[in-house]
Amino acid sequence: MGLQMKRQSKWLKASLLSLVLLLAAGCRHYRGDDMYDDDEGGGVGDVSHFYGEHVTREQEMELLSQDTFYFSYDGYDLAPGDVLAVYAHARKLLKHPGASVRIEGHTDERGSREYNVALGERRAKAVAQILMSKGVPSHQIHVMSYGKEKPVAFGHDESAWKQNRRALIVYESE
Amino acid sequence: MLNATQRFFLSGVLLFGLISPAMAKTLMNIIIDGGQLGGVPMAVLPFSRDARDPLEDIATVIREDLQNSGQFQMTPAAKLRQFPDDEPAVDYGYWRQLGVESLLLGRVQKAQDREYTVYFQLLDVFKNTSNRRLPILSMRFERIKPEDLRRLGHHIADLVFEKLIGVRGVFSTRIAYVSVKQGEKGRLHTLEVADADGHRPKTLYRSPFPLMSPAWSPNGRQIAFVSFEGNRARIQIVDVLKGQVTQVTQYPGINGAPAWSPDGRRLALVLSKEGNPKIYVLDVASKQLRAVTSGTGIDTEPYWMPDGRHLVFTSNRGGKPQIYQVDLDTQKVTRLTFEGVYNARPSVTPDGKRLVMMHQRESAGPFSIAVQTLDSGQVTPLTRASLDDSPSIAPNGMMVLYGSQRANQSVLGAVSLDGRIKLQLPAQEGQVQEPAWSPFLS
Repeated sequence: MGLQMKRQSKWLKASLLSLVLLLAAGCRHYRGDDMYDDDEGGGVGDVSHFYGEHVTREQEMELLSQDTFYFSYDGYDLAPGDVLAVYAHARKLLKHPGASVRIEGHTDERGSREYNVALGERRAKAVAQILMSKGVPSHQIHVMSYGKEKPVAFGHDESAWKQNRRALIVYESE
Repeated sequence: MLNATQRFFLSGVLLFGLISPAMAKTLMNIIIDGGQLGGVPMAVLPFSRDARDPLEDIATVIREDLQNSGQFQMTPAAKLRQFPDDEPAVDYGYWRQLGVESLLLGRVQKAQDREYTVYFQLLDVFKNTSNRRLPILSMRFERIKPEDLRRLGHHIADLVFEKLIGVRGVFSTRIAYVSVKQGEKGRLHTLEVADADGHRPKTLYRSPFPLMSPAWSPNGRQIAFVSFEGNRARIQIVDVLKGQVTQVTQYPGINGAPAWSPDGRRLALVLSKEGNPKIYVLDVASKQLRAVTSGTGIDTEPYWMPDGRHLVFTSNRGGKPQIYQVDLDTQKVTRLTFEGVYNARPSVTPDGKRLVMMHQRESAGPFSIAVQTLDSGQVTPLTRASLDDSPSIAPNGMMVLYGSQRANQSVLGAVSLDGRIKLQLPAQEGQVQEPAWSPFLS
């Protein structure tokens, strides 16, 4: 019994210690070659920003593989779950000042063509604004809109429409 | 004022560069919506000619034009039994018995090699009760080349239409549209110009990138449009005769929705270079650019009122897209549409009295083409399909061309402003969209 208690408390101590170390590490800016950490300020209460400091290379590649962001009908607010991927692109652009992206806005086929160009631009801008909020200079970002002129799905129902309401991040130079 | 023959030859000069071999198929299908076809009972007889000449059948061109206008009850060619080609040979009793009121007949005579003389006479069957009387219209055209016969047919149809209906015909006008075809190396977008009946399409501009918003200059010699080479939007102008292209704007952001002023000197257009898409007016010669709307919303799709001092446009400043008007002197903006949740892409009839637009009556409902009387505000839907867009009004204000969807294909349709007559321009290869009806070309 006594031995078991002692072992337990020893395990507990070890776990507590590692937790403290982990937290301490988390508060430090890692400045190695694989720095994915994005900015110096570190907004208090910005959970995603805090999270971003722990991104592993694998996670970062995974985030960067998302280059398409979908929107609701007539909407141009980015889905909350997409923000982390945009942050990853921001980190990449900050790390590679010579890189630049084109952000293309697209819409579904409903509505007028030129109004859809305007709506698509708002979607592209929603992505661009997050990049810029992370400090990416505007000369690395080219915002444009194709409206409903370049659909990827050709049906006339919601299953096609939801695939077409999108913004793309396209690297024009890496 | 030009006479009809002068008009024809002027338009010949203007359109010379566009003439290509005729396509021998009917591109229009007429659908009369809601009941009987009214209009003038009429017969167009085959024009007599030397049977050894393999000529375009000019009477068929005229008959189809008039038929497709929906303003005539046309005796089908197969039912015709008498074929006079000159007034003295007409048996009026026979035509009265058939109920035909207007009779068109004519001749195509060879003058010399590859040159013909064409005569026509338009007769009022019931006016000519006993004595032979003058045709209500008759004309002779000389030195007509075989390849000009189709164009002459449209011209004669215009003259007959104006004589009988009292409104200038639009059969000699042209339409521009965007065609999208899937090629081996991706999509090919072309700007096409064709006769008003869809015949003789000719490519004016091609691009692997989308093309949008073709707009004819008031003299019909230029078309402004939007292209996206290198994924950058720009407004360009193509010369209809020479095919020469000049760039108008390439600002960061949107460069869209060009619209010529009635005097042809200015272009209203949309730029988002300052943030939000706003309406600007560009003086084409001096390149002077002036913003005419402001605010945080989307303003787009300007169209000139005939007075040249006001623009109508689409804006979401009230939440959803609606049509507004801006006074170019005072920049005062007034809202024009209140019915429906989505009104966009406005254009105005030549008399300035009616607005034609895309209209969605209720959320998740179909997008149709609708007309709104500006005085009363009364809105009348003209089409009932679910995805109609890009209406463009004929220069005589009687018909509207628009883009529609049929069986997963983009096609063009036309509807009369009274909603009674609908036409489809049947499937061409690929997608056909964004029609723009030319002004009168002579």
